[in-house]
Amino acid sequence: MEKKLEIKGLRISFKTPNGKLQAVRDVSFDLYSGETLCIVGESGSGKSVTAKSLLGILPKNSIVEGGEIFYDGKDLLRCSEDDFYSIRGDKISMIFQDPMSSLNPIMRIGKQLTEAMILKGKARRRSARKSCKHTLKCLKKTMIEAIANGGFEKVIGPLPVPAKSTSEITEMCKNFGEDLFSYAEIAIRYSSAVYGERKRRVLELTEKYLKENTVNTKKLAAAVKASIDPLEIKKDSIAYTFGRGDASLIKRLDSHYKKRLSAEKATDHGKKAAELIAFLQKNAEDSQKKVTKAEAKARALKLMEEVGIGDAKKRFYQYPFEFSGGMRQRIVIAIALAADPDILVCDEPTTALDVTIQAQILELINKIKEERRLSVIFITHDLGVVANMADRIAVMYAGKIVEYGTSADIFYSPAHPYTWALLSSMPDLDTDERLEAIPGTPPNMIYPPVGDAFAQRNKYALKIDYEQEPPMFKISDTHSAATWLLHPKAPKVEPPAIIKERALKMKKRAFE
Amino acid sequence: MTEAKKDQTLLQVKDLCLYFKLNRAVDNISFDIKKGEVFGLVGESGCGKTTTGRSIIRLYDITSGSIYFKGERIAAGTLLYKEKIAAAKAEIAELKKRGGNGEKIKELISTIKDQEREIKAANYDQKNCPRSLITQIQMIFQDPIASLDPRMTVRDIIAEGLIIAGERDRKLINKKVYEVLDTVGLVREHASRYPHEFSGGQRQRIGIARAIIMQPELIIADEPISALDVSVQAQVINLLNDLRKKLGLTILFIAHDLSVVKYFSDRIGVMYFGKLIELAPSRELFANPCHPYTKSLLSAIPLPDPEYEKKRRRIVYDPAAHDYKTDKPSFREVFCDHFVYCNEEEFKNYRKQIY
Repeated sequence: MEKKLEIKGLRISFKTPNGKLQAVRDVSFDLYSGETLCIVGESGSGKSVTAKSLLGILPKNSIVEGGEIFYDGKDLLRCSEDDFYSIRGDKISMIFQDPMSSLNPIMRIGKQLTEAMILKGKARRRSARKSCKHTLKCLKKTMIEAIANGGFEKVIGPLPVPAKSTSEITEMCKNFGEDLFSYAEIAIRYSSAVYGERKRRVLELTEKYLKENTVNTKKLAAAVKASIDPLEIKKDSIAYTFGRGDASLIKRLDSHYKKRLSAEKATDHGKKAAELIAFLQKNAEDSQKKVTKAEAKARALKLMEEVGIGDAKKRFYQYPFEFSGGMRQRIVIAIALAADPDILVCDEPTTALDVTIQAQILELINKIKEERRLSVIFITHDLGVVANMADRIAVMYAGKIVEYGTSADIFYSPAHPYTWALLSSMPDLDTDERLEAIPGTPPNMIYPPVGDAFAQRNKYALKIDYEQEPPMFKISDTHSAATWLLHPKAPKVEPPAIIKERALKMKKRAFE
Repeated sequence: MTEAKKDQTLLQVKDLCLYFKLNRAVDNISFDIKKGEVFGLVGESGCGKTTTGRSIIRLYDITSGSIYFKGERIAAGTLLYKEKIAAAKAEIAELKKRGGNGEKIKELISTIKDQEREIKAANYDQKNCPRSLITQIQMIFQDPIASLDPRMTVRDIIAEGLIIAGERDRKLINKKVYEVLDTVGLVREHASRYPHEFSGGQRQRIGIARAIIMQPELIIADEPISALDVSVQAQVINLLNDLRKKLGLTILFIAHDLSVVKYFSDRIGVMYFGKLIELAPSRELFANPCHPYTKSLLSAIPLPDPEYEKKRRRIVYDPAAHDYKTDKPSFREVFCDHFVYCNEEEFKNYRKQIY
């Protein structure tokens, strides 16, 4: 199976008035294409923080201390906000816990559904236009250089005539003939004669100013501007360096020009131009395409039907308060699906819902996952919910993954005391005896405990649990757990009776 | 539940209706809660289970029906009587038009008078219900964050009920506060702190402490664990269970998590759109669910067993399956202590299923 997402050694902390809170401490897992990975843990175990880091929506007081999140060859932790615009929603999408607070109460749901489509459409058009313009510029330059290098015929061959020409492209085509004459003129500028002339002028100027020692950066910049194109000035910050009287600048300028000239001679301008034209043709359509309101509405209605909202045409114009909790969650799911993502992150999507609605929403997420071949990360604190959903389960405690395995591994043969405690603290339909509550509360992660973080609440804790952190012990190829109980020298400890009983019952049920 | 206490009815809800304008939030439901038992009320959100709980503690003025606590009527509605009067009046007008039957008219006039007397009595009971009786019913709320005043210390929150009830002795109040804090598993030092300094489970303990300081007989627990983490849920359930045994509490447990309700309750009532559709001892309800809605509810419970979950098929409830056009439904006892809202034909079917 193909790896969709690779998280390695993720560490995230928060700045708080009381100190640095270590929310996620060295979490690593992979998400394969088409699978559901469940992250289970108490509140404060860092599961939501992990999910938020995937979308780059961590709060401002967070510090990414280390680690990598690889998606599509990119490290999401090092992505800029602008890069995230094309990932968030388009590639990775999220469903939040409380459908009431994740919808805008004063906006019709139709608008909330189409909002992202229209904005994304606009952004895509804008970026396509930008890249078209840039490509045109490059193309022009390439042709000029090609002409200067004598590759004129090569360029003239494939004219930039895209399938759907933008205004820019048509203009470019119109002006093409006229420009050709001026190109020849400009081309000369790149010849070595001009280069030498320029170099001489710059040298003259520099010497003059250095001698007089009356350096005025503005004046100098203006003078240099006349001789070299402004971009270069900025790049090398000539004025700044001149101000400090750095004589090595001349040498650097000289080598820079030489390098550039030699590079230009080496490139195949014809090929480059052809590539640029192909790119233009591909992008021309995008730059013209506009997502209209009617188009967005049609898509939204289709989505609403897909997530099971009946009478979509009427519902489109209603406000969130007119929907029940389950319906609201369906809308949130529809919004998450609007841009056709690859990965769906569900952060406790059913915690606020009751049993029947929860079952419906889980079925819906499963159905959509199958239909759209999504990879799902499902976060919850209720192990009972995930038996139906999960392919693999990661149990988190105090910012670490303490047990990791397939759904069958975790439910039929759990190995970590925390997983035991989680499983035995919830009553099932046959429970009569007193529940095994986990005593105490999770540790304060500003001062994470030495050794195993769960030791204080763990009745099976060994002496070493208070001294040294347990590594991940491998139980099988798919199953591993971080507890000293799995160490070969550890005393044999049986899981609690209730878990063994349940496992037996499950096996019986499976046979029936 | 000990045998001796079994038959003492602590709370009786009779024909309770509560309408919000056109919305029939609670529609003609009746049930008893016996002393010392835990009565579970389940149903999806919006089915009126919280409204029922709030009506019992008199947070709403009920539209019709009566609620008896320890044999005394603590709330009464008048709509039913008013409807009867209107119907009688209409009949009289009809009879007069036809110009006959003086005796029938007399009879009707006397029923009107009876009903008017009933209305008076209901209004009297509604207004003059003894305070001391009401304080014996206390409530635990769902959201432990929203239900505690963030500007009051834990001591103030817990003591508020006592102060309202007229207790002024500071020393006594403090003593009682420390006692209940101890009972719910918190310590004295917590009394001077504020709610935000506590975790979710601890906050719910404060909510429970606030309820039991009034030494109530009946506690209405409105989804007390829904907002808590699974591991903490078990702590709170265990606490409620201990308190129930120690203080002899009777609990009306409102929840939507069926595994917890099954674990905790002696009897369970299932509600659907304002109606109580099935009422049975919890084992009986899970073993022999009759009403199709109950069946669909039970089929939706997720279990921590991947193999079973893969096979589990959810039954979808379709209210249109009932044919109530000619044969009107009512609340019938299908089996010993097992009541179902059904009509004659369904009643026969259900009996056949069980036997």
